[in-house]
Amino acid sequence: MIMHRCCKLIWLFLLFCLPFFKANAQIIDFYTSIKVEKDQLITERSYEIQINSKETEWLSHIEIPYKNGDDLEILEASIYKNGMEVRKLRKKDIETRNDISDISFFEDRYVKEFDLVWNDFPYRIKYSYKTVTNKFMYVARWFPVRNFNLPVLNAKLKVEIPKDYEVTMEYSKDLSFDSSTNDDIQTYSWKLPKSFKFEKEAFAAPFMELVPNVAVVPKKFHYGENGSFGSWKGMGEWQTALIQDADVLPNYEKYKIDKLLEGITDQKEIINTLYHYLQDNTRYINVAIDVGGLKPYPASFVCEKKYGDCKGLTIYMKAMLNHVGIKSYYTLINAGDNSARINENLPSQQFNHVFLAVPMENDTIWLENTSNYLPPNYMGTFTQNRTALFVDGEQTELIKTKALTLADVLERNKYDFYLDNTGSGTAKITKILRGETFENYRAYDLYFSDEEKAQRLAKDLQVEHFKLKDWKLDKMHRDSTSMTIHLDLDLEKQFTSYGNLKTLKVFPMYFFNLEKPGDRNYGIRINFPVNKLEEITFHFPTENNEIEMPEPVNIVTDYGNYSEVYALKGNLVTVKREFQLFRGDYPVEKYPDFHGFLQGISQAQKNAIIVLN
Amino acid sequence: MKKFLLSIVILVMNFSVSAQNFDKEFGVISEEEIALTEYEKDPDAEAVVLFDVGESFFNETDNGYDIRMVRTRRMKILKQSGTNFAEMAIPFYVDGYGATEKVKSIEAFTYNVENGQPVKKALDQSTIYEEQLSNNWRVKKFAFPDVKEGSIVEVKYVLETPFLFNLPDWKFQNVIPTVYSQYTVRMIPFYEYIFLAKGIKQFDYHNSTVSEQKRKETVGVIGVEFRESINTYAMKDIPAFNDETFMASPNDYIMQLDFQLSKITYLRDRTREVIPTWDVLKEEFLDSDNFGKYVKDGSKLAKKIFKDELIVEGMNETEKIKTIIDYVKTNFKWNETIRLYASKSAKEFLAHKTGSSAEMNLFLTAMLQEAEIDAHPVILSTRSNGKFSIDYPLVQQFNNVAVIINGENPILTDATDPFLAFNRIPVYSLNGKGLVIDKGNLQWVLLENNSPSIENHTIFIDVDTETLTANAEIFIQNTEYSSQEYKEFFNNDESNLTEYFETKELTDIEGIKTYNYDKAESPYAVAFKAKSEILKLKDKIIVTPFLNFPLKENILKKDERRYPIDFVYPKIEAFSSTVNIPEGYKISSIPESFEDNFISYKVSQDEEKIILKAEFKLAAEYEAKDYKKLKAIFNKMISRFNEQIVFEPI
Repeated sequence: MIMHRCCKLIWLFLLFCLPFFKANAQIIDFYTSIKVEKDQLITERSYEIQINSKETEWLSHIEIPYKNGDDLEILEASIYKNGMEVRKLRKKDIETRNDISDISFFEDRYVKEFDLVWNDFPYRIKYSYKTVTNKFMYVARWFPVRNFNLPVLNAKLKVEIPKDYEVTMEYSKDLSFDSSTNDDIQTYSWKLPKSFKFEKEAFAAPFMELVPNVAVVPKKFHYGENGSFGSWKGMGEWQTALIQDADVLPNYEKYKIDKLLEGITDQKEIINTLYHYLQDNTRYINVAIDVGGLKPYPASFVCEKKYGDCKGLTIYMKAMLNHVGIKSYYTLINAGDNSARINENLPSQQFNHVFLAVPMENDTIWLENTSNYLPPNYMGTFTQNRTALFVDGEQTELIKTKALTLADVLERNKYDFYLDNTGSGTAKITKILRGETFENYRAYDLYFSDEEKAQRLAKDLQVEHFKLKDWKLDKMHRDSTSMTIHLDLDLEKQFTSYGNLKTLKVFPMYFFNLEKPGDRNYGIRINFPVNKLEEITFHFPTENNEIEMPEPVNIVTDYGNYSEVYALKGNLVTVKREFQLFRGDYPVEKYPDFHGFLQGISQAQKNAIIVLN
Repeated sequence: MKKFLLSIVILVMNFSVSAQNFDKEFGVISEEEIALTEYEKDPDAEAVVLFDVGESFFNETDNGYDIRMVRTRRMKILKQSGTNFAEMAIPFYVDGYGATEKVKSIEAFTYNVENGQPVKKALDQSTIYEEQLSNNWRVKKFAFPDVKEGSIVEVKYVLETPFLFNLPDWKFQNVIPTVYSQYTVRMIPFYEYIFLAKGIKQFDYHNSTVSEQKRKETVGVIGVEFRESINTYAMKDIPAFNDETFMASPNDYIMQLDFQLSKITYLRDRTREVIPTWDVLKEEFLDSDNFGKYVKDGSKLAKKIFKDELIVEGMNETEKIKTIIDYVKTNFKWNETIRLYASKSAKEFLAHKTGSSAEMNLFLTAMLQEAEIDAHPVILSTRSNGKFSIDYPLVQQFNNVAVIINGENPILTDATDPFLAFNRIPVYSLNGKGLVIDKGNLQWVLLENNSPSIENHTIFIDVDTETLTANAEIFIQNTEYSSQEYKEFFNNDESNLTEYFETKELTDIEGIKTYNYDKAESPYAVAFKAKSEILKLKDKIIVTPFLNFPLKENILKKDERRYPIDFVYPKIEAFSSTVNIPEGYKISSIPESFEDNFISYKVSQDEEKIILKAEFKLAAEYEAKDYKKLKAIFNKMISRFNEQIVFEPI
């Protein structure tokens, strides 16, 4: 499914796509040694893994990533049983294939893969490999974990650099650190003081912020161009050089744009027109070769092919604006709905996406150029409320994107159920979507077939026993930040009889499935708010005075609110409910309280049963 | 504007007469194709293949022939969501010893209408990428330039292959609808092929003719003149193939034409049959280093095992069989790869203790034979590999090995899965028939299992009216493949099981005990205690007797079905619940008993308790025509099995 695309700026991120599994194995030892020698980065990694059961046997499938142009040497790969080596990997058992991420069409990255399987448990596997590269932006970006839920008993990182090689370092205080100097070599080392295991939790910060880690960044580097990580300004200058001259349109395109903009004078309207032109004529295709992870294809390439990745499409948009004399700025961001926050003390490549800032007199217009469906200047869940790097040569600076507010994400749903005495009937539903669901449905509207749209609409309804008879996604103005959808349902079996009791269960709004407070390790993070207002009206054929409705609910907390109110009027029962979840970061101590809030909502929804007689 | 509308109407009418039969010449785009905004036979289609035309021919090279396939394909993007289809991926094979297929002369164009005029844009050759899928497979891929809703894209390329046994196959059907698909093969007399047409009842067009022009083959001083035999197959208005649920392999149904080399004729009238008879094929397996000879080598190694480690003397035949199968299952480990031939020696297998399905099962055969059991390998095609045609003795159709033990009641076995009983083969091997590889007469065995896999839930519920809790004792027992699946999935791990039961809205799960995890022949059972919330409405107490174990949502989603519904093996979902009538309460309502061919539901009661027994039976396969009925049966089962008991105060 296409939702948001975020281009991969650097292959390092591969390491963070951790598969999930349950513990029944251990990393006995994970050792990384990194050396900088003559502008080359030489990395050796070795793993010793104990596999105790069939469940974790898949860990014996090894994949070693490398990039075209890098040297890779597999140093060791063996199976050990009771301390004895029982099998060595043979060269012919190694497969090589391209390693292309889901969002990419082509990348010049590869993996070597092989299996180290033994017949009875437990057994150990050891493997190590060495890579040499001259294209790097981190000397070390180290996390002492390999997979979620897999305990690591020992992990050590050693970094050796020439004394005159300048670096900036940041590392977690919960790692033990050591350093020494020998002749011309400076050695740093870090170690896990005790075994460590990372478990994923809901409503928590991303893995990269929670796991102990080390970052060693070179002050000076060469990646496409010479660059400096001495400051954010330095990084900006390098990025400026990398995109230098890329934002120029071919002449025939200039002519086309001049014609397109004939008679338009208002700056905002010009920007919108060009943005719509971009949306209607390009598509997102990511091809990353060599330094293509960070250096965009020039606007002329994108213009010719009418496709590109975030960098290419952004440069193309920038080139169009350039042509009409509007200044715009390439802006780096770490996109995603739960992305690691930028460490502002460590100027370095922490970004995975690029978009465009167009400063206006009083405001800045933001353009997300990989989206064919979002309105101009829409700051969605993908990029809102975070630090970004506004690239402008010497004037480069960190900026903060605006945050989605409760009003920005307010979703209003109106349900009318017309029921007969048997619990069959019809329903008319109108939903006004904003925020995340708006973003999703705009994408569905554009990319899904009618059948897929119908399936999705049905899936997103919590109502039971219905058939989707008809539906419509309103053709809103393309710059609208809300979307209205209409659904017509045929209903049956809405009533449940318990003996002579006839009841109607009000369908739920949300279900939460969270770990119990005792199992929680990390604090709470809610990146953007949720705000939902629903009115459900049940139209019964006749007035009914025997109806018994649930008690109203009103939960007010620091994290958000939930309320539901029932009203009977003639033959109508109306349920009004409201749910708000606020943006926020809370320490782990608050988790039981937060958990209680969501449990309270679940409980209220379980109790939402109207007794009809 | 009016005129425009009119012309569309006329166009549409024309189409219905001519079945949207467009020009098929590369580079010639008709106005009809440009005007097309919807494919009338599938208005929801996001894109449509307008034509896909291929021609294969034999090309003389310095040392014989290679085959070249020229393919032209044109597509119309009908909706913006269809732009994803404007990418090409052309796979080709590299054998690793110097011989390789090649994809050449790629020409691709995008046509758009700008200012009322069609504008043609060529593919930039530098944007063709080569992806390595594995050691042997590569793919040439590219994205068409300048694609949007309404674009027409077309491509022409040549696939060159030195592998004469591998005349390029042809798929007529795609994930989007196809207006016209045609494949022509120009044969030369030296190589004969047979073809297998899958998913096709009848070609819309089929023609065989000979070429007008003569070709000449010279070897030394001998020269032969010959004509090509030209065979053309075409299909039109081919629906999209986009439902792959409850299907062993799309390969069994997708419309395609596969070719196999059957005979080579050399000059001087010598011929060589490439497609053997089944008997010859058997001989080849028996003689192969990686099959028959592997078994022979294995026997020598087995002799030593019987001498040193495993004593089977004195056992009766059944004991011997079980002991040997168990020995292989526990001492060797399947490396999760399915193979028809061994890829290492029996000695290496013994040393590595791990191996493919072929290595495991051929070694098992060797051990059984060494113990004087009448065992033989059975070659088969797994479910995902697709059904094979019994008309053609082609080794390429097979991809796996199992073992048969002859006797009064022949036993099919497989050493790869320790969770399966000694006389069961894995689910993926349950696919039609297999061929026994022995010296005797041709023998086929049915690869099926008719014993239903039963998942049986036995529940005792004690209702606590104070706390509104159902205190439940639950016992889940699985047989056959259900047992294997349960073991595989939960790994007998308490936390895995607890997590699963929590999804059934059970709390306070305790005292989990499991039975027969290590005994493949016996049902696997899990017993535990748990609590579940009880609903109280007014003065009534509502108990869900089967808790949340029955299915809640119909697994058959679509309204229509074109293909059989394949559940692989018969299943029985059984529930039994005993609910104590709480003190001070009486029954207000309970579910009613009933029975039909699929469902049985029996309710009985006495003064203290209610007993409910429900069963749902499912066969291994249903015909497509029964789809709607089956869907309704699932609906009925779901609604009945989730019914509740209501108690009210006395």
